Amino acid sequence: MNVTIFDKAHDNVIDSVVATGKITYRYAIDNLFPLIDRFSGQRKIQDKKFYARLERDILDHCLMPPITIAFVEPGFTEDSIKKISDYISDNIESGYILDGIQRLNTLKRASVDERFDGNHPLYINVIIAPSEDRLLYRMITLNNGQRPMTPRHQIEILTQELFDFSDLSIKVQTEKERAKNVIKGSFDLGDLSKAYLAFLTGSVNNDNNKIIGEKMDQIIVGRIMDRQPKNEGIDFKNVIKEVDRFSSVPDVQKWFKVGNNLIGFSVGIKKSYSTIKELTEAEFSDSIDLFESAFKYINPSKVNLGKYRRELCQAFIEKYQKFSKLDEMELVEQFMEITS
Amino acid sequence: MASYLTFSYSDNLPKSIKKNLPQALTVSGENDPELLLIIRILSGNLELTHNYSNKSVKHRKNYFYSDLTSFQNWKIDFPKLFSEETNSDDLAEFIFNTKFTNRSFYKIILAEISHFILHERKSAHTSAFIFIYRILEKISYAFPMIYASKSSDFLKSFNELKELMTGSDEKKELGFFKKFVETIHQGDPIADTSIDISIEAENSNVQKQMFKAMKDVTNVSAIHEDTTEHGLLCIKYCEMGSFIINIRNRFFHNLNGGSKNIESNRIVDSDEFFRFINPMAMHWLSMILFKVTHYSLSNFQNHRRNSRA
Repeated sequence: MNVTIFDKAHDNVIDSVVATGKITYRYAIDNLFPLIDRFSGQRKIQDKKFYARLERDILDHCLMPPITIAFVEPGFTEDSIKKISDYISDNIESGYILDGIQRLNTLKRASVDERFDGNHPLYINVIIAPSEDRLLYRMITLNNGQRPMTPRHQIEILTQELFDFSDLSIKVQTEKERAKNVIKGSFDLGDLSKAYLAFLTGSVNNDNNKIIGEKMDQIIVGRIMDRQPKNEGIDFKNVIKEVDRFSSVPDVQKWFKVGNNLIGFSVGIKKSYSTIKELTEAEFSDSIDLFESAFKYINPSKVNLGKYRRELCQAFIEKYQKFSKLDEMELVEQFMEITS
Repeated sequence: MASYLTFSYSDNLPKSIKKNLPQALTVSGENDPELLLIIRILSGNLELTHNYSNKSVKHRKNYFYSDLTSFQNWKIDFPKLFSEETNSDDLAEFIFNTKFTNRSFYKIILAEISHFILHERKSAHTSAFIFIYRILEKISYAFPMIYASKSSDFLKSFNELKELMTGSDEKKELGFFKKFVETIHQGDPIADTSIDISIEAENSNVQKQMFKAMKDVTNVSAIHEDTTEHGLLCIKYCEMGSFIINIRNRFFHNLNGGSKNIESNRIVDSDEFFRFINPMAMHWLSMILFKVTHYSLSNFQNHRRNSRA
């Protein structure tokens, strides 16, 4: 057997199966090492001296600290230990290495030495989460103490790694890809990751040039932790799906491509998902027209433009049921009240 | 009006940045708008000369950043503090067109800041703190007024003023300004942060003693959770004004009875003691000034557009 599981338990906060077990060095090199590339952005510069020593220790049969592997599988239940180990073996190529990338790299380097023993055991921790959002929550809370990566950076990378945009009609491009070749009408991955951050924190204001990075990161982690990932009935995947659906109307697609609209929408929809998901594309398109004409009346000063757009967009989507039924001037009045 | 010119100012930005700056944001040395001089001196790119002692200070601390590091490119970075969309032309237009607004008020503030910087440079930190306090006194009525007078919503500004004027049973001088600081920072994440005073005395016993002296006179409710043992005293952002007032009362007033005073013995060296407080107190005052300027800029832009429309 390739993967042995000793024990399992349930993490109620992230509603996930957590298990501990063991594999061999050889299995890790064959199956876990290739996964590193899935998290390319996570690789950081390593301390050569430290890892050279670990390389030597591996050859001397040391036991490395456990590696943490994660999976996203909606509806997975931990009925039996065997089921968990079978699941891991069958789905290993879709796992994520949450912790231990440098150790796997070192292991790979050590494996070319003739003294290397591939049968040596390697202990593993496994998390099987029901959604990307839950997994991310655990990663951010786990990593925050040692801070190898800022939460914003983490979310940026994970937006790309965790979500599969290939089955959507909208196209998503990274800044690098855009520099080479812009696909017309494509979304900027950076905007999506900002929207995801807004979704996770429940706040449209996560950028603040007046607060130095470290403090802002603290605030962001605090906001994410404050809103424990209890079931809000909506995952970010659902948000993307709605954006994709409404974007079949060209003007709405253009509207979503404004980063601040996307951010406001992603936070607002958390409170109105049940309403929004029932809307037809045409209905939503009409509402966007209403929003824009009211926003024109507000005409914020330049220094507040971005902030008001995010905030009013959030308010409009949040209270969609009420606001979308108002006429233009009534909506202007509501907006005035929010911004004054 | 003083006839003797106490301070002169000259531009100290690197040439490469200065040459691309809108005219209205450069400092000529004559008739420069006071608000510009204040912004520039707090940004750490102005040279000031104290004419009587003929002492010049090329001041480099940037009080708009909590770590006091310099702006990489002031032309780009400073306007960005207002918002992502704001650029140097927006700021130039505002500075140029409002140069006569509240001029005498800003003149006073500029002089106080200049004295502060001069004393800091002379390592006379105890004296420098006096100017921190003088600034706080000056702005504690003026800023709320500037704020309220510009509000376009009369009903709201009445309520705001009412809210500022009444409420807490704390001493008036404290209450009014504190309420104002809280009101303008509602929903702003900066209100959840802290102003961090790092006590870096070389002798660890001195460090401990100073830390304790400082902490003992600070209200427990003003202390932020990031505070560490003996090294770092973190004050909740909106409580920094109360902290400054407390330090003044417990050190300079030294009244008998009532609250505990700071004993000179315990702080070992008063200039050393205030050396740690002053930069962070000035940082906080700078941020409050910035917030009010942000508000004025927004109002200015609204008026401009309406008058053009």
